[in-house]
Amino acid sequence: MNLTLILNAALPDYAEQCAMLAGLLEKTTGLPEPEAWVFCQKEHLPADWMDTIPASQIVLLEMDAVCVEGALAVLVKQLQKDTLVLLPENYFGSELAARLAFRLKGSAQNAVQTVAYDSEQITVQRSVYGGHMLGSFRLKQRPFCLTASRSLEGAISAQPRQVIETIRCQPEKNPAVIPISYEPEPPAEGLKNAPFVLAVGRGVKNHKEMEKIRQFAGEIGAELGCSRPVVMSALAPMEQLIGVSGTMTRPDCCITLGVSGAPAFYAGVEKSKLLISVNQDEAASIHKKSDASVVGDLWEFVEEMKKQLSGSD
Amino acid sequence: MNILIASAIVPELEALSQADWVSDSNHQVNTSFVPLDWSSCDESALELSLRLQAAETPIRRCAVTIGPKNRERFLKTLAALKFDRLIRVDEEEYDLRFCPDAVAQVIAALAQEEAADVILMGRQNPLGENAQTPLLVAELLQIPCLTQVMQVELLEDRILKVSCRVDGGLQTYRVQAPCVLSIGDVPSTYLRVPTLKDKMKFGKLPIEQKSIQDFPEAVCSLHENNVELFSLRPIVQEREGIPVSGETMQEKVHNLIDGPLKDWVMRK
Repeated sequence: MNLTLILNAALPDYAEQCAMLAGLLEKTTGLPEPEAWVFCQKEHLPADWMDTIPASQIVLLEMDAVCVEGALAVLVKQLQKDTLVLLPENYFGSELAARLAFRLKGSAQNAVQTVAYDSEQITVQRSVYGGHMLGSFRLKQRPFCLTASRSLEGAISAQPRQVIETIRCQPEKNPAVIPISYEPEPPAEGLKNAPFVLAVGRGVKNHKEMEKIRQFAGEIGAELGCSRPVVMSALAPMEQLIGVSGTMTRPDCCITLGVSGAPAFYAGVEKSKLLISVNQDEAASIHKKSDASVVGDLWEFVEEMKKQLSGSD
Repeated sequence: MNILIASAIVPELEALSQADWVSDSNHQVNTSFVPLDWSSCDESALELSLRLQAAETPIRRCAVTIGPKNRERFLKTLAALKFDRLIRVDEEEYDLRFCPDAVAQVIAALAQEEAADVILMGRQNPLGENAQTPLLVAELLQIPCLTQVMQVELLEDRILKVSCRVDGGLQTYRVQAPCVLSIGDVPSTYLRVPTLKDKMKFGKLPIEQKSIQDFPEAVCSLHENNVELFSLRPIVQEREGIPVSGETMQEKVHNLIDGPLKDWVMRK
């Protein structure tokens, strides 16, 4: 069985891709040494791009513009059947895994947390039921195309790395789908790396309340993030979404206000060193998932915090 | 232009308490006692399909859901929203939770029957979290699939302008149908509520009932059993969860500022 890691060096989250795959490799058993296949735009490789790859042997696949269709065309030709393919859980990797498995009559699984291999089969674990349950699956048909969960983050070891082959790819464009424009999204770097995060949930009901929370976050020096219901109600932009569909934060301190604690959100704050929850529902699951909890109305909490911090209590 | 929207009606998983998250010997979780609702991304797909309008292009909307009979009341809402055809496919005794390929076979077959120009569906069902079905439908039909779709606009018959979240930004495309559009997280796309007048006038559209057995490719896929679930257990994520002491909010905040938050906030 071969082990192939797929990376897309043309994307801004390249370092996170490497970390996800390194994290999955740390939780695997019985796998051979990996080979990394790196898609890139010629002469546009990120600085130190080799240093973060969790493999010592690298195949470079150069394209004018890296896209899933182009990557698919190359991989369908190049990959051997008896291969375990690991991809990152970003939009590129998730789409590529499913379509590659289909075309090669293999098996795909998304957001995998562990992989075990014996000579007969692969078993994987991933979350199901909205993140509430952990499912363990046996997969039979090769190649196995798995994406590593976004929550994984492994260490990159210092090891000698070399490019063993460079392949120049020129896939055909699909005339039915013509790119018109591209708008880069404001980077969520502020939220992703913020040491202090204030995360607000569906306890906030309208724009006026959201503005009060925004001011409060500014006053205490915290970066503001939100759970999915807040963003879906258009009370905050997508860049402030915390969780599996948004930013995975790792603050030293996180306060959650009016957040229930759904797994999809919690995945985005679980790496907080200190987690404090405020929710008037005593039974809200966030309380058990935090270090310290305040059962009470979030607006009373905010007003009292402002009073005591301003010295006017 | 023909649009097929595949949508799932699922239990509200956040209504279960921690103690409810247990699986039985068949690796099933009992969710029979919690309310049902549209899967959120599928709901967005339904609403986006209703927003697709163009003055000189007649649009036909067909909605399909796979599930038991109690899902039909949701389809009645779509009747009142003037959908043209409603189909419920009963899964019989089969477990489709982790079989996106079988689900894709059903949707692809119906898309061919409908001669669908656009197939809209949410990115994934929250139960299975497979995140594959729209992609597999596109592969089966050999048509493009655009993922993480945020906006769709009909430019002219069978020509769409589609905006998608991609890694790092928002990409807009001009797309020639047929195509599959996989909907992700799109703000402000809750399904509209039909008026009482429309419920009375359009709500009686019959719901066609089919069985999974009517789709032999899907049944074949289920029997192949390539992906086998062999264990299902709750994910427990707990910390100390220590309640901050204090009778009043004033006391609690005082103890918080002097305690866990002392390195983060300061009284003036």
